[in-house]
Amino acid sequence: MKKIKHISLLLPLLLSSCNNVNYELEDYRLTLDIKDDNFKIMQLTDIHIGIETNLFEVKALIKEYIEEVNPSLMVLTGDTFMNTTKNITIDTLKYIDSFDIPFAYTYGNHDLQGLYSADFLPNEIMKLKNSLYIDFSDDDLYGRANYFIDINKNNETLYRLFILDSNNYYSEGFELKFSYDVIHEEQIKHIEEINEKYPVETSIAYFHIPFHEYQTAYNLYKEGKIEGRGENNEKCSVPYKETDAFTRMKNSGVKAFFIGHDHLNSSDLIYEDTILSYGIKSTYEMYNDESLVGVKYLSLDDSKNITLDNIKTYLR
Amino acid sequence: MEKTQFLVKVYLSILFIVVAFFFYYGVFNVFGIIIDEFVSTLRLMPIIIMCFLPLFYLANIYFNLYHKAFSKKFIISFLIIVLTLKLISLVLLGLNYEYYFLNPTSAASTIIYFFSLAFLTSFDIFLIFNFKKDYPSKFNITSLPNLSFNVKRWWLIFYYMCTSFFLVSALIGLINHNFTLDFMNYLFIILLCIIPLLNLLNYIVYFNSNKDRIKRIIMLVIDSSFLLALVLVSSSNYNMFISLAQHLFLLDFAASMPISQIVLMLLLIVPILELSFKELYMFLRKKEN
Repeated sequence: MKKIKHISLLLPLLLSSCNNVNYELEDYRLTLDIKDDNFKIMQLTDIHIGIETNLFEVKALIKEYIEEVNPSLMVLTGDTFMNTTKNITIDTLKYIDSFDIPFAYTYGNHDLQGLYSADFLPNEIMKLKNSLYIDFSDDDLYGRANYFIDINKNNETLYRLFILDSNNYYSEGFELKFSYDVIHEEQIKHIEEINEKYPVETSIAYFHIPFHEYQTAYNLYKEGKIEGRGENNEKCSVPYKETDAFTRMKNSGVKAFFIGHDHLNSSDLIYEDTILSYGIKSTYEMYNDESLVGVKYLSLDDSKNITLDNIKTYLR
Repeated sequence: MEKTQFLVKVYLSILFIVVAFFFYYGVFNVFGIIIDEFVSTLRLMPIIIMCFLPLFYLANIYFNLYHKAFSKKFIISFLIIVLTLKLISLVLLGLNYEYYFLNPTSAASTIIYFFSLAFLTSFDIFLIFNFKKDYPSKFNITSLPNLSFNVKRWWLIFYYMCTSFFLVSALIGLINHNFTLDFMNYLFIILLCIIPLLNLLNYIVYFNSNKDRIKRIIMLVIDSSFLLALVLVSSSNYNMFISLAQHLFLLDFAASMPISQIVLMLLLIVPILELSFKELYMFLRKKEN
């Protein structure tokens, strides 16, 4: 009986620790100072490292991309890991860190499906000296990584990168198939608040799962109604419902969106004066088109302007 | 005899846990092959063989202890099968030398492979040198009256495999999780993963004797409550599973389907039906008398 009493005293204590903390907007900011005229952001996406992966091959690919592109910043836009162990995860992250190039990380729908808890991956990323990553597990924002990186030159912010968690799955009750989740209302509101408090001219968003607008834009592109390039070889795997996330992020200064998720898609489209770009699958893991493995990188200058010409591709 | 039977049960319980971990790791590797669309089949096959073989051994030990003693013919066939599988795995291991020996991240797989190989080979040697026609003793445990029926045996093997997987999932989940986050929901998931073990014990070792009615009813109540809770949670707050249990129900999310929940429901429904029928049968018989 005494033991039960102790447990009953302990329970509220445990549950009370679930209370969310309100962080300041500033707490979600990271900065990166650049000196060169040419600043390159390389997007690695859908690497899909798992227990089945031959890490020699994947490491060789990453090294090749870095040598070819020579990026100033790398952004991993989700599904870097799937069905993996702690050892494999730590080894891969340390390898990426070993190039002494800053890198940002966000989640795909598969990254948390390994033999580790949801806290493990963020903790390991934050330990690395070149990681640009913020994750408050006790904040009131949905998702794991919701932060922004200001790219500064001579004390002026040229570009802002929003790194977002586009979350993973959603189900209406017990269904036989999961749908993909949306970017939640509070995440969008967070971006609006950041832009309101710290306005910049040009922002770029990196996340994993495409908006519905990606499919709409591609249909228009195929009809010849909008400008673009590249092909989508599979249907856009969009979230379970349409939201106003695209419009509101666009109104908050986001001029270009870079995503991953669909391994066979590589289009870059201009839709409502905004760039909607698919990253290129960076490894041969999981389903892929062997002629479409590589990286996309954004080559930026001081103009604070992004066009399709700024987006370049390195294919193997 | 009582003491010997108790020691055998303890030995089998330890073996059960060890084999469950091997099996879990084997399934984890099978996920890898499925995710990779079978590209890495030959690469992962050595570890999968060596993770699934302990289960094959354990099934035969159970069979030997509770059903039919090993015959000489059976042992020869058994040894030929396991030797062939081990040789195949060794050849594949050699062919994937780079993955297993030069890649530091696969060190765990390599260690598990050799541990399993050594463990099982020592058992083979023991079997060869200690074989007697009447060895080992056949235990007649009253709790296994229906094991000889083929359907029940196959159901038990299926149940055992699922139990192993969920049990290890629960243990890994206990080690991994930060319990300050969503404590009660996570506890429910962990308990849900342990329920099949209770049923397996009920089937095999302790409860399922026709005489022990109270234990049967307790089990029936536990199973029914968990099934009800699972159905309610599944239909009302399914996203709780999605946000909390991705590292436990890996295949679900790889396949984008709630496979674990369906299997868990099946593992609860069948014992409920079986126990209910048994209760009904006993009730009707009592009424007749």
